[in-house]
Amino acid sequence: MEQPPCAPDQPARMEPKLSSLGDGAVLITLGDSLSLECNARVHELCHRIRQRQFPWLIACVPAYASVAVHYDPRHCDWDRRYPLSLQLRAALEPEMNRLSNTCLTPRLVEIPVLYGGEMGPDLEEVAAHCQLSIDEVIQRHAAADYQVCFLGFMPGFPYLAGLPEELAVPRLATPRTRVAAGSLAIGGRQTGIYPQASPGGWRIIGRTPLVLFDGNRLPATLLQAGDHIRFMRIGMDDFERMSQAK
Amino acid sequence: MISVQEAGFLTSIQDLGRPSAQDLGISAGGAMDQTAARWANRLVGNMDGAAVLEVTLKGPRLIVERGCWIALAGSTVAAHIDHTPLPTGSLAWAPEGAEIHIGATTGGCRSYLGVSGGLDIPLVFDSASTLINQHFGGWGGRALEHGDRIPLKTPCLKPPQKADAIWVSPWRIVPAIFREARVTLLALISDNELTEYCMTTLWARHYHMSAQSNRMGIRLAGVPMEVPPFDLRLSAGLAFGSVQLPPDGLPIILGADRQSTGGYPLLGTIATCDHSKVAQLRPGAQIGFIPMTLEAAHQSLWRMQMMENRAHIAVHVQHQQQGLL
Repeated sequence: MEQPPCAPDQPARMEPKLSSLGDGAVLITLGDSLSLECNARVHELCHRIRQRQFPWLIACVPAYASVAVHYDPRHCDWDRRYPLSLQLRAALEPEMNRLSNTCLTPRLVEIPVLYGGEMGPDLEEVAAHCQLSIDEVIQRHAAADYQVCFLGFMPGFPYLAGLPEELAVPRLATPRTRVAAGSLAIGGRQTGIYPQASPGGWRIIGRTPLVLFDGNRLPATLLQAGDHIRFMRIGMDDFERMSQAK
Repeated sequence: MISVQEAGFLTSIQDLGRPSAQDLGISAGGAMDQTAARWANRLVGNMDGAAVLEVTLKGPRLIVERGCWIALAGSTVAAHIDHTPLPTGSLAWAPEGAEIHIGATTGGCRSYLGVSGGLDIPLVFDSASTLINQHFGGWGGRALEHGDRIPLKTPCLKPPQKADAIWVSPWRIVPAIFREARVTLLALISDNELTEYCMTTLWARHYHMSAQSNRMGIRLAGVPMEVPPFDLRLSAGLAFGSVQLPPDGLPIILGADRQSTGGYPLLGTIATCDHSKVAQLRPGAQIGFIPMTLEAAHQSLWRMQMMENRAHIAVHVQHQQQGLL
């Protein structure tokens, strides 16, 4: 992919790329790696697209470095000489080209975590893989600053950026059929928290007593895209106390 | 009310889903065969998005506590109102106390029961659809069970003159004809992220549908293909019919209850004109893929839309002629 020319002290930025996800969605890709700067542009792009209030827009689904724009072809202009794909491109490209680095004020959310033991069955393996002691893994994990890049995979599941490089571990070869609600997990360089019990292929290192998704609560999701997260190590007593308080 | 005597294999409440909630990580959900769900609603005079029953492989036995207009769309299925056969694509009146027995689907996998007015279900994120794996929405987040009594909304069609007799329309209107084929070919739009080798392999092979399939995805069984290393591919948004290539080399066709984002590489996404075929696949069905350009897919969709519109007018005319409006 061609990179635009850039000053030596600026990071190279990928040209936004528009590709089709079938005939009912397009995927706008802004980057090819995990970067907070890129993720901020993803959220700005979603915001811009939603503001245009296109009649054909069904959903803007952000991810780390891309936005999936789901559209309803029936609300497009069906001029047979002018393909839909060109219409969509003409509508979306101006928004893609106008992206800047708008700074939004993020919320800071502290998440209590009980690391290891029954709550973190993969912690020992993670420590062995990273060639660190269990305590070092916990300390480095809890010391880092994280950001919610987007919600996906299941209701309210936050994909977090900020995992220290040395703690990256591959996914399980065979996913577990059941991972407990509140489980804190690592998959490659990604880390997240399972809001509800679910099958899962990521490695579980701890659990939070907080409820990340409740369809009857307003707002339903505890976390939002753009939130800053810090993990707080807690003991079993605090875990039980916080769980009962729900 | 409709009272459930026997629930059938997997009967759940669905509508057109909640696609705009995908940015919260909530699956779009909704009827697997959206064309059929819309059709079940149109036959009984409802808006396209009214709540319907999605019936899978073997249907329920239901008793209607008040007379209502009903219709079936989707796969052909052996269905009766008491002893009177109820064909797919007919409009029928089930009088108070009648039993609706929906038997085994023939040909396809899923059939949809529309009731005039729609099922009266509280909306979660603007939809009555059930996300069974998340225990979310629809009928308490689960499939129907014996003893459930489902309330109905006010009907959109007037009752017939003889409200105590079963009536089934002599006409059947279904816009899309689902044909069972020896090998179901699915049109795939690829905006290519995978190697030449993967795509060439895909066009050349046939797979069969694994019994491990469900509303989240249709798993394919057959000869696995070699998957390029991908562990650090970034998760991105997904659509109905997106075809993932997981590490085991066997493609998965994503369904209505797919996750909103995913990290496996995509072979492509199946064109909307073939989405009903995906919904109607039965375990063991033979499947192949053929390439289709985005433009050809939109053209097919346009033609499909025109056909549906004409059929919708035909239904409306029937409703008018019978004095139901």
